[in-house]
Amino acid sequence: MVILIITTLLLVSLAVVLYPLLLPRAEASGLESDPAEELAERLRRARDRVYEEMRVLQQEHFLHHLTDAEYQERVRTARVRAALLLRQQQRVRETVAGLDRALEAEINRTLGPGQDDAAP
Amino acid sequence: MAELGTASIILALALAVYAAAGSLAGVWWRAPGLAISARRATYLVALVLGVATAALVVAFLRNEFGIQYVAENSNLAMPRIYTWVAFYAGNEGSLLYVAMALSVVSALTVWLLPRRLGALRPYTNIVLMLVVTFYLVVLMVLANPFRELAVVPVDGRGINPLLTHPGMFFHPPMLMLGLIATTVPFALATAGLLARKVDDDWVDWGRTWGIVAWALLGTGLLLGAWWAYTILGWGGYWAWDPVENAALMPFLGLTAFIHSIMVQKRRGMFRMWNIALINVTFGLANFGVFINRGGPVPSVHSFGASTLGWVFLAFLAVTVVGSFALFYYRLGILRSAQRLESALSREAAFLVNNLLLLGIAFVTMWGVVFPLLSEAVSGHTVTVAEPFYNQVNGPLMLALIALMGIGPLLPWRHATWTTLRRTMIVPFPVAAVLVAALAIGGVHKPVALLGFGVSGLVAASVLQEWVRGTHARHRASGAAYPVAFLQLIGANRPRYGGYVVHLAVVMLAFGIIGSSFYSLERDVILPVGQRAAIGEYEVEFVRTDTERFADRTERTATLRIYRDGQPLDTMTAWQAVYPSFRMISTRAAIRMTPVEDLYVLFSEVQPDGRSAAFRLLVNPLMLWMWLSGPVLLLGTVVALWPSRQRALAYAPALIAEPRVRP
Repeated sequence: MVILIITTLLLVSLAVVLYPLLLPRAEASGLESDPAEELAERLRRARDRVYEEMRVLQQEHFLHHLTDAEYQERVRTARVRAALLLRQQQRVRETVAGLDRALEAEINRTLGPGQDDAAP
Repeated sequence: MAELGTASIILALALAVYAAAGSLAGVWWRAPGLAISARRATYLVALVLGVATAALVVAFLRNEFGIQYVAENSNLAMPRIYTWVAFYAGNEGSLLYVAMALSVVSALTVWLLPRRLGALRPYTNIVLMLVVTFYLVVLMVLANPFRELAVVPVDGRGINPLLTHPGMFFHPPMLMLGLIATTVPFALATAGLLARKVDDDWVDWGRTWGIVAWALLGTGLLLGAWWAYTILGWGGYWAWDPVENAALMPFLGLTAFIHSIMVQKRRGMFRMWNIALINVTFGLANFGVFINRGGPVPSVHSFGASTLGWVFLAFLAVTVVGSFALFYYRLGILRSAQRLESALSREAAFLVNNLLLLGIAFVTMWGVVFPLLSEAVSGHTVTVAEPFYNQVNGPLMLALIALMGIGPLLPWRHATWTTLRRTMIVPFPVAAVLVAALAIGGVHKPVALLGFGVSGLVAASVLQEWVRGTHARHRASGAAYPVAFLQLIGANRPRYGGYVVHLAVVMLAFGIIGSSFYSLERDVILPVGQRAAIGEYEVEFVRTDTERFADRTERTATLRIYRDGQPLDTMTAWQAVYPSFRMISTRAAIRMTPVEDLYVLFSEVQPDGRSAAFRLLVNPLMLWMWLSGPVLLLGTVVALWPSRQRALAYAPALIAEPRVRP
């Protein structure tokens, strides 16, 4: 019984550990993250941090930790940073969309006129 | 079970080495398949060590005394319920527990790490698996719990009687889990340095695991204090024992870390501080392991027969030198973009908080190592006792509690004296009234009054925040006050969970101050039927009863309690003699009320057989100390509870037009 358990553990370990090594490289790479997505995600998180900062400022204002003037000045600065991040996000989206369009155009040129319908 | 256990440990070691090496190779050769394979090996380590753990537990249940560890920590008479305690009662079993717990925590860390931290994942895995590998090598080579005896005894030695207490089901595993869980934020921070990704993305995850480790350690320490109070028989709960100190120091480091990392989260500051803090905390946790396992300083807690101290000292040295070498090497990319703008700001309060906590940790460390240094230098061992710690750490802790009352009221970046006066206008007078009331009520010791005063300041600050915030919510949304209060907490769980934890600290402080300054103690010998007075109580010795078991003889003393001449209660104090351990275990009779504990310890029956010796104590406010534990856990859960994506929904309105305070 003990030998059976040990053997089972060993075989399961080998199978689980070796399986990813047997995957084609492209399929394995697909399991990793896309740099463009990473950048978009990082910008989104930076923008969320600014929103959180504004929420905290509002809370501190309600709790009388900040005067009206202090609150207005700080939230104005945060709004500018949020706007800059939104603009950066938009640029990334446009750049990625532009690259997609360029890639599609290149593929169509390579396939030639009337070939794109025959693609499986 | 011995073969299964040993084979499992060997397999786990092979998988851990592969996981670390595979992660490293996956990064160097840009081979994602290899990195994924290494990750899966990490998950398997936890599974395989679970099998090893199960093998040891089954060996206990089946009384396999051919395994040395089972023979030394259990016997035929041991109630099965103590099997879990016996599992980690000894050095080898507790190391297996630590390795298993670390493997589970590591697997969870790697599995739950979000995609945005994908670049850190292989490096985190490397660090975690290297630590796991260390523990597995120690298990395999120096402390195998499955070592077999040449001659199988008929019965085992039994479990240490001091461990047959409800607290022992939770105190050691929580403490060990808390210590080992410091590995996770350390691994995340180190991974950031290795990957040269020290932006603030890892902060949320580092904070979460930091708080988890902190809560486990804190609860473990409190449970240990409760165990000491009820079973060690001296009426106290903290003796500044080296092993107690060794768990306290990383707790203090973690406390500093989980506060300081909020500054990095909100302001992008203290990057260097936080890396240094977690390195120090991890080092202190390893120092705790060194002290506990064959370290040179004796303690009631340490595994006295262990000779592994040098191994853990070497590991401590490697991790401290390695982590700070890497920190120094990456110093250039750690500089924060923001600077401290004002001494009157929340950032500055957190900085002072860090310094006070590290100061207390340093004083405690000094007290632990001073006997060793004195012996090394002069040949004489100078013992550092409780008065040193109380006199030096006491004021630092008072300052820390005072800061707890003021810091949360300061805004980020800078505050004006006007806003500070406005926020303090309620808490300070409330604290002053409390002090006056206590002084009128008979509390005259200055340090105690000061302690109650700063604790009152903290409580008043927290309540003020809740009242103001609830009122603001009520006016803004029209919700009923109870609903507005819940909305307030839900809107900022880290903040308000932290306030609940601060209230737990106030409760703890109340218990410590009351029992430290106003305890009464009296040793008496009472014949049957006679009474002794202590405080407002009279204690009458009624009778003793004796019961014999295979491994022990139990004696109970029944006592009747009177107050103002009227019968109040009946209490039973207990002791047992364990011949095989040459040990007497006691359980005090404790009558607990919110105001004070009446504590009676049964010492010994006199030779005449008709009288017995007792220690009587009255300990004020102890109940608040024990109640602080569940409150602390509640605050932790609130602080860690995931928020819905409120920021996005809220933000467009904020960006369009900032709301005006009602």
